[in-house]
Amino acid sequence: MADVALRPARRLPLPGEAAPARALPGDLAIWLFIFAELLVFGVLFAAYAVARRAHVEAFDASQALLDRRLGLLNTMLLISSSFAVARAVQAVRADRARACAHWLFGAVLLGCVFLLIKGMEFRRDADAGMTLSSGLFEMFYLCLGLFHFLHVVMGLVILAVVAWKSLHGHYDGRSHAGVETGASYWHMVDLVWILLFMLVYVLH
Amino acid sequence: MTKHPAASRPLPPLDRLTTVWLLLLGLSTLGLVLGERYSGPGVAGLVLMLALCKAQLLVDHFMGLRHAGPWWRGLMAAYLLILGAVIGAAYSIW
Repeated sequence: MADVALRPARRLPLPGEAAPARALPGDLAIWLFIFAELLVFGVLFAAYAVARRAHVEAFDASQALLDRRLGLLNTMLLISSSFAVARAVQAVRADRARACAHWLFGAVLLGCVFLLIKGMEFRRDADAGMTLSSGLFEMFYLCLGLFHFLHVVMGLVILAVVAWKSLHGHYDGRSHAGVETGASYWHMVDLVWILLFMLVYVLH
Repeated sequence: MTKHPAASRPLPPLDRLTTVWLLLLGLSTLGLVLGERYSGPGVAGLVLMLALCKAQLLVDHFMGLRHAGPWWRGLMAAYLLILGAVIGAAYSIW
């Protein structure tokens, strides 16, 4: 009992106060999941880069057919969506749960536009006769794109649930691990797209 | 004639998140313009470095890893460095 009495109580951060140093945003489990996901994408990116070495001309010719402007637009949409999510985390830490929900709904909207544009791009590729067996570049482009697309869908579901919960008072300035966890996953989706866009659309 | 108060009001300074957001948008555009207009190992290296810088900015400021412990930050930095090294080697940048 005496030991308990002597131990100083852990002070919770005040609303709006930055997270204490060395704190990982959100649950530890999501970070293990994030690093596992990054590892999978990392292996695929490395495989793409190594496979290209033996087929440089074919990769560059196929890459030149991609709509890089749409790729840039999608990059801007995901970066802006990540910005909105970062603002949402900032808002809930300042005990503004409604503002947090509004930022999150904004992020979901931007993510939906990303899916719409990416879906149009896939549709155009399919109309042009692109399949997984069209070539090595096409196989990587479609696999990486579709795999990331599914991550965006999952991220949007998570963000929408967190936004709804935030709107209905489930989070506040002292209890918001759910928001940070969802935000961390969404930023990972954005991080992967930044690397994917550079590698598949731009680098040659 | 009275001057409208909003006309003389200075613009509020950009906060950290807004600055990073604008920087990420600018670096994305720069990377694409460089990749479209120029070619060669030097440009490829620059495009790769820009993407890695963008990734680190996002990790530090949006993900909030700059507040995390050195192990987590080191793990993420190592991931980006190793990936960059493998891609750079495969593209004969270095």
